[in-house]
Amino acid sequence: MRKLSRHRGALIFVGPSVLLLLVFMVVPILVAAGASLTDLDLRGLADPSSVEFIGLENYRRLLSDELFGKAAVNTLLYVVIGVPLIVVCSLAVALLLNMGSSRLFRGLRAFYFLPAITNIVAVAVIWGYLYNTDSGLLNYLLSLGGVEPVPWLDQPFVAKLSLILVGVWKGAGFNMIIFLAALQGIPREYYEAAAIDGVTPWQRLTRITIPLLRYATFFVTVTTTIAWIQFFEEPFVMTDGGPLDGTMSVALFIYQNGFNLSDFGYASAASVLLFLAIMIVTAVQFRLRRSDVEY
Amino acid sequence: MRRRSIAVLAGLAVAASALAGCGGGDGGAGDAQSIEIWTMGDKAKQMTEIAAAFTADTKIEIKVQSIPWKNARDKMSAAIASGNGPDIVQVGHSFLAEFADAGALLDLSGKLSAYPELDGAKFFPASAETMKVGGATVSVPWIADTRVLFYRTDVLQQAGVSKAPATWDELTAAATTLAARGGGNFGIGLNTDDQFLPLILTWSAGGDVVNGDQVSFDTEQFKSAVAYEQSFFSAGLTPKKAQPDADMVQGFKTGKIPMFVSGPYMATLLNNQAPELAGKWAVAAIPAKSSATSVMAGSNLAIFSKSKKVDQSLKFMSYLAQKQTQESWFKATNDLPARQDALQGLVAGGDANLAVYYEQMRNAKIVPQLKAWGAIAPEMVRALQKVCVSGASVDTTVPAFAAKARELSAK
Repeated sequence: MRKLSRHRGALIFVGPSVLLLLVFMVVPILVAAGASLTDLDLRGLADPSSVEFIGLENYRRLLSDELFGKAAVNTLLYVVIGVPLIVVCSLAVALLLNMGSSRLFRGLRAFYFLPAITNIVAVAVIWGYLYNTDSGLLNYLLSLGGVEPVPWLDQPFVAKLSLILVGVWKGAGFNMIIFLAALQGIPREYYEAAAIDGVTPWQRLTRITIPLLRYATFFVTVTTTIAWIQFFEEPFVMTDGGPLDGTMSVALFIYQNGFNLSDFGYASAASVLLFLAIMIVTAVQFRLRRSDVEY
Repeated sequence: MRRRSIAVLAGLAVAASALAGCGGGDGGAGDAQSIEIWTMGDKAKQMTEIAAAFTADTKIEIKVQSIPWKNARDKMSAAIASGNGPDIVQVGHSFLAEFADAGALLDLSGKLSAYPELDGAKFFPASAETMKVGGATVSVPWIADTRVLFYRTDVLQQAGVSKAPATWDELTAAATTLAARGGGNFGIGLNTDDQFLPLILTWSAGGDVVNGDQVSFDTEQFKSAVAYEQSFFSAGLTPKKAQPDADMVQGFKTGKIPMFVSGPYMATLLNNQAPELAGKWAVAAIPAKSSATSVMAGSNLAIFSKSKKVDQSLKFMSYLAQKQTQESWFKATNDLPARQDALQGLVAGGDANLAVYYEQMRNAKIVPQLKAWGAIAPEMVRALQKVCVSGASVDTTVPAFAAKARELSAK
């Protein structure tokens, strides 16, 4: 008790956010975990007494559900292709933008950041037009070069890549800002010392800049991985999981089962698995980081 | 990408329902002389206008809230969970069974006798069938919708097809002739995302997909429907992709897709987005194998089970079901009336397309009124896409889907 009063100041500051976190994060996760053991549906919402406890049945169904398997594989692909792309693209853009601070560069910075703050529905509509196989701008430009029309959103694998492209375009700006901030935090002395030693620009990049961006890179990788595991909005508004379920992600699977089919128990079970997957992946990333050399 | 967890969202919905469960009744409308109606789509303005005469007459004020179709389900789930909903709600046919099962719709059995305008006999027979779910009357028809064949009269003429195809063989022949124009032109646009098309084809082959309250997709007729749809794709007569309405309009405009199957709302879209086509297109009944049966879709009006203004709501529904109201609603929105004599009256105005809709609606069936239909329909669409787009065999895909559908309906 005495300890508590000693930390009163800290509690006043931390308390509200812990409370919010409890109410809006921890409790819902527990509720979802509970719901995943029941057959909760629309009728169950109206009349809780009709909800039955069915144990791990939802999980058993999930593991034998072909569509869930497809969604899991797609999500894995999103992560495996999307994460490195975002990290490399946002780092490259940040390095280029860090070369100057004139009005042009500041303008470009805003330009690259714009996608991150643009409403996803507007983004989806515009990209939908760009991707249109028959009358889209992208295929028109390709046709000028004599290239056959690409079925951007009409072929399962190509559609996956198309969505990843939108995701990278939208996600790179935000991560670029993080890299830029980190770049500007690198003390100038290192570069001055290097200049005296006469290093090449390439060595400067690979021996000083990139190693010193290690923490930023780690942060970007972790948050981007989590975001791609929850990849939802692009397939939701652009393809609805099609064609032939080629763009179905686990998050979209959860949404469709929960809110289109009112199978809340089943959707909760899938969301618990997704949550566990995120926990494990993040834990592994932190584990790998621990063996890191500190500068 | 979203950084919030979906798990959290799903959990929140459930938590919110638990917290709000004690609400009850309709929260918004305070005074007894106003009722709240939820209309789907974007027709709030028209509904407010049409309600004005009713309000003037009865002093009952109508509060209209329009809900986009895409959110209709979420909004209703939230209303069911919290008990806070409107008095009257517009419900699409495909949601009726599920909402009724969840206890969201008031049982109107025995209440309708006092309102002759709401008598089932006033509506198209197929529409009237949707009033009952599991023996209880839970809704009354409001607007009707069906599927017909849209075709470019001029393009067909030029290709040497003198009249709209009326049978399966004629449709295949016409589509083949049209596709033979070459240069990226197709014969017809069949949307693989459409859950109605396989049903329509099964019915026009003389079959059905339900037997009593059991789904039965393991029939020759359903197989022949799937095989028939597939034949258009394998012969390259239709584009191999899901086609949103915008693409259909575009293809119709350029003549690349000179035929497609869709509903009356497409006529409105064509009038708005391709007015230069006026007079160059028409609609025809669904081509038949053994009968020219189409689907009767549309929406009904129901009273939310927690509403405390049942009498006023019934009064308003009765007003909306009047022949004259139904006609003025059509004039304001182009939604076709579910009331048979109202559409008949409109047909007398001389619009040939309306006459086709009228005949088609008399020869139409409703989507199976099963609670599990919401889960079965996406599986059916999935099976169709496998067969049509990736060329899977009908003989293996259909039995697998039929088994899955049985499993879903047994749940």
